[in-house]
This record gives sequence, structure tokens and C-alpha cells, in this order.
Amino acid sequence: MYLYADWKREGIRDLQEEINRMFEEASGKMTRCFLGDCGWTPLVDIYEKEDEIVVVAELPGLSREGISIDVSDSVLTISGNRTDGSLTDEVHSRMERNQGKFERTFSLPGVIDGAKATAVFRDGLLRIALPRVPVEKPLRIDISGEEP
Amino acid sequence: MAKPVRVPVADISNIGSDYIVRCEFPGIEKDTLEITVDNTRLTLSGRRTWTEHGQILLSEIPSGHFLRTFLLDESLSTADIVAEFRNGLLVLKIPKQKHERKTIPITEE
Repeated sequence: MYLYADWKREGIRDLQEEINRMFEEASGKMTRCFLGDCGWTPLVDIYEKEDEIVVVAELPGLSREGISIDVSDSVLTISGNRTDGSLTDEVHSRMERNQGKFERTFSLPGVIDGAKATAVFRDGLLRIALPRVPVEKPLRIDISGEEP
Repeated sequence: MAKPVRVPVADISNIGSDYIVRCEFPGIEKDTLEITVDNTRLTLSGRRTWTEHGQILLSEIPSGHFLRTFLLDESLSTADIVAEFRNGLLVLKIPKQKHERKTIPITEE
């Protein structure tokens, strides 16, 4: 009985990418383990726009209730806990998916209005939009009148 | 040159009379997910339709479509695969088929 990944078909390039990813993940995990928390690290993209910062995180297999988002002084923290969803009687033959606690913290540029931040979770993808507080333009003061 | 392909991670387990495959497709809409079985080759693929604009400050999520193939044992009942997609996780239930011992009678002329 067999059920395995078909690497030959997917190509060496994908295998290389997969190996790279495994090493990156392992090094990330080791750092976290030194800090006493062997969790996992979801992948994140951050985009800077004129009026907002958008943070996108991949959190497949989690429910909306299982994700916490905290914003404080332009510092964003996404955290949660994921179980693999398997039943107790299941016998695993291959486990590639990470499970357990995760936490990621980002220091965002500029001033963020955390109270107006919005988040949408759909198909395992979390999108957080954080409005930026407009920075007042410096005032130029004209000199008028005569010298004293 | 072909578009970059992302190989999604998967767990495989078995329980009772089924094999369970859990494969991650974050940000993939259900409508773009494709599950095909060609003989003994199970192919899972999905297209990413979302794009985000703006100046990139951090980019960890690989671009490209998702594609993963598995080779199945011939004894598996591929016609009865059940799929469920929730929160970016595709769960397949593949029934094991029992090998039934069959005796073939020889007819006399």
C-alpha cells in the first residue's frame, strides 16, 4: 500500500524549493525553541499604501475564532493555535503541516490608527487593513513686516 | 518558461476504512480548486486569484499556482473520494477497497 508525493513529475526545481523551505522553517523553529516555544511561523506579506498598511497572512486550517490580532502603537501581533484536525484513532503516515501555537509581531512604519483597523479571514487567508494617521505637513511661515 | 508552481504541504493518515489527505490551499477560492484522478495519479491544483497592490515591505508568500500530485495504490477506490474544503484546508477521504477473493468456475463443455 503506498500513497506518496510524486517528485519526479513535479520536477527538481520544486524539490529544491521545498528543501529550501524546510531549512528556513527549521531555522525559524530552532530560534523559537530557544525562546521556549516550539511553534510554527505562518507566511506573511506586508504592503504599504498611501493611506493604509495591509498585512496578509496564510493561516489555513484555522477558524476565525482561533486567531487573535492585537495592535498597539504601530506594533501588530497575530497569534493563535492550530490543531491538525485529526481524530484520535488516525494513524499518520506523512506529516508536513505545522501545528501548535504561533505568534508573529511586526513593527509597522508610520503612525497607525489601530481603532479603525479591519480584518477579513477567508479561505485560510487573513487580510488586515491598518489605516495610517496622516502626518501633518510642515507649515511654512512667511516672514512679514519690517525688521525691528 | 512555465509559471512558478507552489507545492502545498499535506498530511496523510488512515482511519478505519479510509485514507485521509489534508492539503493546505490558503487564499485559494473553492471554484478554482481542481481534483483529478487519472488512473492512479491524484492531482490537486488551485489558482490564486487575489492580488495586492502597494509597496512591498515584506514578501514571504510565494506567488504561483498550487500543484501537488500523489500516486495512489491501485486497490484504492478512487471513484468514491469525498472532498471537503474549509478555511483553506482541503480534506480528502479515500476509501480503501478490500481485495475480495474470487473463485472463477470452469465451465464444462
